Amino acid sequence: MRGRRLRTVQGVLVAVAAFASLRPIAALDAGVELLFAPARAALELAAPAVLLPAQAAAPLAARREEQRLHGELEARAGRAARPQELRLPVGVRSVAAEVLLRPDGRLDELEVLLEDPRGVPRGAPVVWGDAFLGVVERLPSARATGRQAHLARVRLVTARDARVKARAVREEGREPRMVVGGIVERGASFALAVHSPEDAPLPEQPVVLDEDAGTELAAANGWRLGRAAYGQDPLRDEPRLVGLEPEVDLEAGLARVLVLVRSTEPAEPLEAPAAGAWIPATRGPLLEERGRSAFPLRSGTRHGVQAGAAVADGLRFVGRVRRAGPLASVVERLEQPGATVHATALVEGGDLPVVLGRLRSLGVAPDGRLQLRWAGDAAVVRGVVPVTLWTLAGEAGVPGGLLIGSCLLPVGPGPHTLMTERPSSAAPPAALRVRVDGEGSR
Amino acid sequence: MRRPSFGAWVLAFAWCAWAAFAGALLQLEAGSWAPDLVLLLLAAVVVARGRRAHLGLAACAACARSALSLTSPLVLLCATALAFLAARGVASVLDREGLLGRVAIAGAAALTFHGWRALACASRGEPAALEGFAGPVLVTTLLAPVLLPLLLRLPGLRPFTGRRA
Repeated sequence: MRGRRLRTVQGVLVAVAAFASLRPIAALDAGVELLFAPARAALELAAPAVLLPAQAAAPLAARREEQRLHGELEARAGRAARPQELRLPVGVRSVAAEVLLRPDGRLDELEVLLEDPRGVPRGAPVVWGDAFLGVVERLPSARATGRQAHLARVRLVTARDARVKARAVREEGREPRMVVGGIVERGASFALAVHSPEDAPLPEQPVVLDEDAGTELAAANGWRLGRAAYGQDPLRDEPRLVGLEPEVDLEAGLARVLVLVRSTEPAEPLEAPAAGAWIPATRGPLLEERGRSAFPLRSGTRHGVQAGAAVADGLRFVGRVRRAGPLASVVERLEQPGATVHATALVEGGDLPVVLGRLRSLGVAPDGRLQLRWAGDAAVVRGVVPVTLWTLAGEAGVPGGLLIGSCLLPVGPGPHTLMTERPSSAAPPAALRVRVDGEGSR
Repeated sequence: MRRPSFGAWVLAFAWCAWAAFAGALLQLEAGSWAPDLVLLLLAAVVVARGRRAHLGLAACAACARSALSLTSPLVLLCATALAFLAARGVASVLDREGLLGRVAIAGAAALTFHGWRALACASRGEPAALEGFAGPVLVTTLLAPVLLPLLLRLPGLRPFTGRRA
């Protein structure tokens, strides 16, 4: 009798597990992850940390060179965020903000860390370089303190209900006005939707923001929304305005932005909080599972590690936490085919960094180099140039400025495969660090 | 047979952890053509005990394996439990001491485990999971006649196998 009851309970449990493994139930997954916390002991039993082969430390000179390049990248990325051809209007100041993530995976929103949130109103325009991006939608509560007091949310102009007034720049004659907001599909990519343009076709010149004077948004009048993109009208067999091609990769190319504020108040210097923190972690043995390249980490959610967090060896990007248990986690390396990272390229001796957007790993080539698929950028026309690749902030858990490797950057529209030399210790060393803290990894 | 003691469970967990680690090392060398030692360990227990093999051992093996696997622990738990049940089912209809019985038990466990894991991973957004799951199934099945007797001799498994090492 008791045996039969036990078998029934076992059968029900297996059936529930079978259903939940095919149709994931987050709570159940988390419950089993918690139940399996003792698995950390298996990690120690199977591969004690002391027995892991010690990796020779990278030469100090290489580390110093990486540090120098990192500093250069930071300086140039800061310059790239500032207006290039435009000038801030009188009475308008800019507040720098670092993009932390897309809240809940919504591509039309950014969660940003404002350097100085004082005086920033809701609805203030957000720009990068000469490009208009969107508006500040949510500000921290007045009672928020510390890091929370610096967090704001930006709604991009790509949002379904976003609408801004714009005009097409024309050297002579009347400049057609229109309303811009939302997106329209354009092949594999998208264009900003144009509503009620006064006069089509639009000129070659960019379309710029043109809001009514006196509004918060008007502080960014003149900032660019994009250039007219045309497709073929199948009925009339003539070019048809599809929308505006944004000058910035709004999906994967935003790391640092500026908020324009109508205020001349002399702000006292304010020390901005760090965008995240790092904790040291030790890795377990290398794993190859169904062609996936990974390794366990002897730190878990109890230590602050969350899925998606970046794992680095000094300044070298190693991979991201794929799943995190209470006491241990598993890291997927960038060498894993299909792994993605947002990247920027630093051209030696060049000026501003080239924002590459999302790179997708195709795995390691027979010659040992990492193959990264890049969508390409028609704006890169300087010829094949040697560059160093760095992570770009804006993805949950991954900060900007971690070295991915070096490669030759091809010219013109892609897609291209970047044959990337990884820094030697990215074949993972025993001692690593993991990005933790707040919104960074969620 | 007496119920396994806490110490027996700890030792079984350790054997599973070492089997998972050895399997991970073999995978680094042989890719998908590496045998699944954890499943062979479970199959060995089923060979020894038949339908009376303890299902708790499947949970113990899944827990140990989860530390060294990319797959979700829930999927591992379910796949291991189903593999264990499949092996027990085969053991109840075939002569488990014979060569065919041993191969069939290991084969059923490997096919169920890797098949279910591939299916679950695919349904969780990893379409590539369905590729290449035949390798470990084949190798695990073929190596069963050689490895099962060796695994049955592991010290400390007597509470689960009912046999002396």
